[in-house]
Amino acid sequence: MRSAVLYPSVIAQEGEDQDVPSRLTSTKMDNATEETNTNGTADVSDSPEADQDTPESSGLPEPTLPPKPFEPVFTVKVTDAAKDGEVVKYTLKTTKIKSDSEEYKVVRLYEDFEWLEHCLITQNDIAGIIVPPLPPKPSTTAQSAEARSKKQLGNDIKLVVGDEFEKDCRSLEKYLYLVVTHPILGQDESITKFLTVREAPTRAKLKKSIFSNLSKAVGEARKGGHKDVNEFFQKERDTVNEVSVQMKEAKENFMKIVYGEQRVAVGLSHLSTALHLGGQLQEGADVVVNKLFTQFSEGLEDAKQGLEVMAVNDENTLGFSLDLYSRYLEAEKEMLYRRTCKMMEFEAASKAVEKAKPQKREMVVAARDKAEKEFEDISKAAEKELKNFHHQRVLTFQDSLVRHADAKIKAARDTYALLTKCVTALKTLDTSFKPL
Amino acid sequence: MADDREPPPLFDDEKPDKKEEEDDLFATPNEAPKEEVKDEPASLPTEPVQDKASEDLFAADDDLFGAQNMQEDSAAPPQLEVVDEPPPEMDISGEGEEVDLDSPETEGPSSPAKMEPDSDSSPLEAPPMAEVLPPAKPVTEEKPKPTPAPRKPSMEKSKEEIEEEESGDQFALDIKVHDPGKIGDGMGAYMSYKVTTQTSIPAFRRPSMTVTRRFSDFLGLHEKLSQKHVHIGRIVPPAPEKSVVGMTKIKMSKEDTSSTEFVEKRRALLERFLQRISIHPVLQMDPDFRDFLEQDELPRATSTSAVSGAGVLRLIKGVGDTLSKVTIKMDESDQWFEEKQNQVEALDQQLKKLHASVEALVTYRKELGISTAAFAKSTAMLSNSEEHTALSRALSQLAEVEEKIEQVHLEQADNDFFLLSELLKDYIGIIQAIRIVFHERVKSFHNWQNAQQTLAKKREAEAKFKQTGKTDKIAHAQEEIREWEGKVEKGREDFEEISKTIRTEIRRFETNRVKDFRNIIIKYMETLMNSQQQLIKYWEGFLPEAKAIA
Repeated sequence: MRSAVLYPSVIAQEGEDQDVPSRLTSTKMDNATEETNTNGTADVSDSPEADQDTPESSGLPEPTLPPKPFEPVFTVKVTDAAKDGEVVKYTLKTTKIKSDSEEYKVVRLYEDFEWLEHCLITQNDIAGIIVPPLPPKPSTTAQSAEARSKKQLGNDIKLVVGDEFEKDCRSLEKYLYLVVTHPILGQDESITKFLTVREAPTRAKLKKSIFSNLSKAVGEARKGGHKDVNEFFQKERDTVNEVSVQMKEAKENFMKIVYGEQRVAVGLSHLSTALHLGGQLQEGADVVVNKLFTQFSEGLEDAKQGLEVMAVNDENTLGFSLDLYSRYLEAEKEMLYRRTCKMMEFEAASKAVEKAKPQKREMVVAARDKAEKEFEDISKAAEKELKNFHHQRVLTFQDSLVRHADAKIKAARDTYALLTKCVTALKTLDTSFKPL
Repeated sequence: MADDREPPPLFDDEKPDKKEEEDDLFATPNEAPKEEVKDEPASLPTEPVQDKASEDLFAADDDLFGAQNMQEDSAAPPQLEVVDEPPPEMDISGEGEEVDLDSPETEGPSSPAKMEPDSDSSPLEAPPMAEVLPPAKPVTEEKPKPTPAPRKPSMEKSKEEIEEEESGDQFALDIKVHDPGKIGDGMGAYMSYKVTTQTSIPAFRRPSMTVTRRFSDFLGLHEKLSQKHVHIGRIVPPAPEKSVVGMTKIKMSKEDTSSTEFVEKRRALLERFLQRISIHPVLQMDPDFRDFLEQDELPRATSTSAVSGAGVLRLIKGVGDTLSKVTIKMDESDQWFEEKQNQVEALDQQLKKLHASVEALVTYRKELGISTAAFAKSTAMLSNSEEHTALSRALSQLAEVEEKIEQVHLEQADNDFFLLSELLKDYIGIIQAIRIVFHERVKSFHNWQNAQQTLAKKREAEAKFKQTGKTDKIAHAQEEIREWEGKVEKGREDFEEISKTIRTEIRRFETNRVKDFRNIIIKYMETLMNSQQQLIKYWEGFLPEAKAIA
């Protein structure tokens, strides 16, 4: 009875470099697109200072050549997630930007990602860096799936939400993108090895992360309110405290919309099914009513499909960015916190100098100079990071909002077209019957 | 029963609709209703009398009107045709393309539903088409002339029907319940409703009238009609439900959304109740019904209050009836009735399941609306904190869009409810009325059987008198025999009469059911389409803002 299928399509990747994949693939936050954006704005390019450990090398002449701006070396895709028991294996495909022919394919576990993060943090001076946040570990057990389903669909809908491999792949892919395009982290050997070497790097048992939540919370509470010497940074700190909370809330509320859409879709589906429990008579009014119901139920299925597509797209576009930045803003907070600590160390060291007795003076002054330099270093790095960070944030949200709106429009149009067909079929349905 | 043939549909939905649909695929919602109206230029005059001008495809309230139009469709338009258009034929030719008297569609009995394809699609129309068709067809169709209640030409040619048709040709009743208002305060307070009727039936004093009624008046009307008609097998539309909770809120002056919803729900229910009566060929001519519509003052229907003496009596009678239902078994000689009863029960089951599903859907959709509103607020806060001007502006726009979308969801939930849920509930109620009528038939059969048994006893007694030679008692016995022979004959006649009536009523019910469901389903689907259009509109409005961020 249904004529040409015109399923509302889940948003496809949008990027000049990408082919539009088959209709029902969900969107991937396209690294390539973002690269075009960021490269174009030349924000990724850095002055040489960030690359060097000691920007103010004493006495040495500045290099005469213009510094080479950092360019990301790799493009990474997480193409697959396969479950092996309770362990999920992710397939990564990496190509070198400069030479397309060099392609690498490796398989990694989530624990490998954690190790990578650990290496990046410990092998680099990350003081002034906003470290890209690693997505939380996806849960794979049956209980967690059930819990997730209850949370999303509510207690009255007895359906189980499937594994969200697609989403996990994209989150990990985005993480790798952020690392690979970071001027400092992108140069780390660890990431190169992670992407190109077939065998997974050997992992040492990781102790609890140095940014353990408890110590962080306590520390922040004590020092977070400490007034800043710099107006720009004070404002930045105030803003991020406010916005990180709002972003989290926005993300939670947005996901409620997504779940709400899924629930309505389930409701439509139930109604559609109930319409099929028609009368058994083969004659009379029942026949016609059954025909009407069948057509109606098809129409409801169309509406349901439209909603499901919208839910997926929502999650892939705006939902994705809200989630990412909820976590990313935390990283910004952490970076600012590190700087605040340095600032307080500097202030303490300065005070010590004032109080120092002549014998100790030289030592104390040296300590203060060191603290001062560290503070200036971190401030400079931080300022650059913040500029990049915010610029990227604005672009990311712009991209998400545009894609979000586009996807909504497309899904609504497609749904409308399908509903129109259904209404036409209903109107032309022969409702004649032989009364019994 | 004779095969009934329906006239082919007045309009072919396909052409006009398709055209407009394509054109308006992404049009703003406001264009849609006009679209619908265009569908019928040829066939119908615009419906000035309809008073539905205010109806908007996208107003939930008006959808109620529209939905009710299904029932009363017969009522309104026919009158128009009669008054404004001289010969029905004119309309037919006006209908243009599709009215082909010999079209293949006329082969089987086509349902009346076909007659109102376009009218149903838009809330603006009334079923005018239905009315036009019947008059048009007499020449070519074997169909009997359309019944007065234009709703749908009755399917069968029974004596009763023909009488009705002849007397009620081209009559119509258009009834609206509107302007609910609270009278009084505290526990004695009540809601009053205006009832406006337009009619061409000469039995009414004026062609147009408005009266004020309260809820108990409606119950009183139902009571009177039931007393007169149920025992002879007519399906009287079920009385509107009382609601202690709802009314208490009103009395307590709680002015919140739930009490506004309650009032609206009740208003719509009362309207549908009256409209269903008005499309019944016999009930519409009932003098009590007429009085209800035209008398300025009605005697207070005290017997409808739950604790009145009459109410208690009703309760007892009801219990008695229930018991008798259990105890009276009837040897069903007529297969038709047994099948029908089974069918009705099966239908009841299905409708109840559907109703439960729809209620769940309404809840989910309302929740989605709430979530959307919460997100709108979050977005507004983000917009305030955002330092990047263009992004801030875009976020602020996003918040506005989400607020509008919340409204879309809530409106759609209203449509889910008022169109689907209430329709299902109505039919579950009608099925209850059908059960009552079947039961009356059983009672009638029982009476007849009782009379036969009594007659047999009397005959026995007479025979015994003859045997024992008690000649003095014979004459009396013979008198009694004659009396009871008469009663048996009457019992038989009554039984056959009620059986016949029920057959007619059931057929009418089936026809109405097909029509109602078709119309409501189409209307509902169109609200779904409309929601999509609104989404398109809002998101298309937002897109440039998003693109302008950087």
